[in-house]
Amino acid sequence: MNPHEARPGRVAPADGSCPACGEPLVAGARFCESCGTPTGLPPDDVAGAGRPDGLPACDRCGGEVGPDGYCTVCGHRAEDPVEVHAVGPVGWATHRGYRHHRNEDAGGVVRTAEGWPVLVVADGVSASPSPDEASAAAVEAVVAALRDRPVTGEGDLAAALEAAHAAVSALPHDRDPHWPPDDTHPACTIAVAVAGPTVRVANVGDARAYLLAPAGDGWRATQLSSDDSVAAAAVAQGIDLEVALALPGGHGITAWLGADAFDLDPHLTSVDAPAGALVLVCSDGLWNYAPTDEAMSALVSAALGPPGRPAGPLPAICELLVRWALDQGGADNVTVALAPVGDTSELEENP
Amino acid sequence: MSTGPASPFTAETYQNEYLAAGADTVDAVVTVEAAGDEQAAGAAAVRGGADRAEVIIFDTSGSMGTARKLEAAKEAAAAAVDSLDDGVSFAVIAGDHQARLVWPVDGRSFATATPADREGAKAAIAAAQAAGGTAIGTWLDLARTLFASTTASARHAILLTDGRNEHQQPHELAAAVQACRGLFQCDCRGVGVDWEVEELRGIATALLGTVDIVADPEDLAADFRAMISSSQARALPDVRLRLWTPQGAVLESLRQVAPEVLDLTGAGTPSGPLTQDFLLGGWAPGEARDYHLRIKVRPGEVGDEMLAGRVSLVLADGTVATQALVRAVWTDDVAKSTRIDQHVAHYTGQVELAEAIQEGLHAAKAGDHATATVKLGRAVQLAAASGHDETMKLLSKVVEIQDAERGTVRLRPRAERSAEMTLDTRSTRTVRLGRRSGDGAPEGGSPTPREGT
Repeated sequence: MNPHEARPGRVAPADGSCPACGEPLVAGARFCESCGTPTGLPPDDVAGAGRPDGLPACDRCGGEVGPDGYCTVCGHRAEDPVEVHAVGPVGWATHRGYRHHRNEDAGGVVRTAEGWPVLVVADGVSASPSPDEASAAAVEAVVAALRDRPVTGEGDLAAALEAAHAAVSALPHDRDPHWPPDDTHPACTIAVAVAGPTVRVANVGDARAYLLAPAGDGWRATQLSSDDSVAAAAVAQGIDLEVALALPGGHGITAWLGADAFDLDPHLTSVDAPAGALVLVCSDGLWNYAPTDEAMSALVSAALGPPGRPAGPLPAICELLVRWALDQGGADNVTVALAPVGDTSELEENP
Repeated sequence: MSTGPASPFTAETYQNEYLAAGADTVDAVVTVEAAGDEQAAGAAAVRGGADRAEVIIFDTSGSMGTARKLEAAKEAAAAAVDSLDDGVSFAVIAGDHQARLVWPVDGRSFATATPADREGAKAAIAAAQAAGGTAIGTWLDLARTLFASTTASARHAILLTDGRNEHQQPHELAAAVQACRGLFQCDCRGVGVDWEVEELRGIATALLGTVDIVADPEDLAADFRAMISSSQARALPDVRLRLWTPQGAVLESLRQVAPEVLDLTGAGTPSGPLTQDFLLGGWAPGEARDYHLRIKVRPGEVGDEMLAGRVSLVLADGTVATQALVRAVWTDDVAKSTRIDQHVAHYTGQVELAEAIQEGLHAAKAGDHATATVKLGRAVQLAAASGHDETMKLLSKVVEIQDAERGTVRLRPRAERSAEMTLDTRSTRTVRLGRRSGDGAPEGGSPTPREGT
């Protein structure tokens, strides 16, 4: 089927021929079929409008998107929707961003035996094979280690990360079609938070966990995790975080899960949470755009609205934060999880 | 990218899909394999001998009367007739400045491979005399008329000549070849050293056949038997490669690169607004061929992913047997965009090898020994680097190899004409690269800080 024939109501430029190569134009075409020169016709009714025939439309050219996700006319891969998981009042959201061709982040939410929410976010290392499998395996292992189990101290989280490290290390390193055969192994970073009255956090790499405490009309974000990054090492020597992140290799990580990692040495933190506090766990796809506690405080204050008058359910806030990161450029996969501290309501994933 | 064990074909893409910002050229190698199991061919398969037609064309021009060539050609044609499976439709054409149907002679277009018809054909072949000139186009015209009258789904010819197409204008031959395209496949053979490699290669390429030299007439019979045998092994007739490219994309090149180089770039016919079909001819069970595509697309933004090409294998009955995707992903990660896929690199080298040989021999023939030495030296270097022993052996009969790695050679002052022609005709044969598993040597991982979570 010629996609243009199914789209009446358009006209080709007056003389009906390509300004560049002189070949006749298909009526309504936005590009010359011979040389690809734009005809100057606007993409008018294409964006998000769907097609008259009800098939999904390409957000670039309005063509039909095929079952494999590629536009059947211009070949563009359709933009993925933000993936949102609502688990009772708890939730997480994720997107592959605009610069990575696949989502190498993974997330998960479960409850401990005490009923407290556990938030997990793992971020596959792009400079390794099968990073998406690495993050998925890490989240799966942490979820299995903490689901319906009592969490009495930081040792429980350390054990969960040991399990995640073992799971990632066990992955084959030679089955990523996008990675040349070499000796690099799958790897990921991870942050885990148990949102009990005492918030407990464990992390390896640069995925982060924050405590969000009500502060007047807004929220105060405090990073509980510690980055294993070149930038963090520079900060430890007294350099400002924003300057450190701009250093060459500032975003490089110095610890990760997987067979290539050094001895596993997760950062472990516990803090008693004030009433009404929230816990946020995210990948660097979010915090790169709000790297300091001040910037993150401003961001979550804008997203959440004043304490006590929430702007919406937390899963929706997660989606809002992911969309904000996409609006900043979406340079990386982005994943955000949010839970109210001490919440013990029943967890059923909403459809 | 395969469609599972039941499909008669599997296809796999090898490429570095990552492009730097602004880059617009996508390279990929698509490997295609026919299932080893003949059952997988299903309804599109050749249905026994009756569904197959063979035409044997041999040169009976005056020059064939020398050096026992006609005797050898007659023995070879008879051997081919004997090699036919029972029930195959066949005809025998003798060609000089015109074409003559040697068998059958009772008004049928095709005889049937039965004891009686075989004996009749062999007696008629034996009676052929050498006389007249050479007009290969007329031979193809007669073969085309015959094939046009059959419903057999597998259609194949053998064409043997010892000379140039002297009694016909080049455009007449070209028109005859063009008219045969898609109607039958034709393997071409030159006997002796007085025929033109380019001329026969042109016919064989257009008609999806092989071309080779049979320098010694005594080897003809074995070669004819082998050609009939390969032809009869092709259980899947008239396979097409369908290529979809996005609007605005340009197919810069499409080449078969294994088992030999065959340029298909201009040979496609439109089969839809954004697709074109390329004839691949028949396939034997277990056969493998590799294709190198280069597609120019409109560059996307960093982070964009585009389908730059979709390769489908289409059977004679129109069924799409398998697909392979060629993708483009724009990235600002230089480490990713600068990587070169080893299949693409390997076959780029093999195509350059074939070109270097042909250009080198052409220069030598024209008396330009400097260019010939440089080109054939480069060929030696490429053959050495890719472990192409067969081509190396042929090269060493034409040049003295002083340093293969550096490509330092000296032209042999009295290289045999047959050695040069053998090198020329076989220049397009490539060595195939192994599959993904087992490729490449492991490199040491470094525990340095890592970019890009």
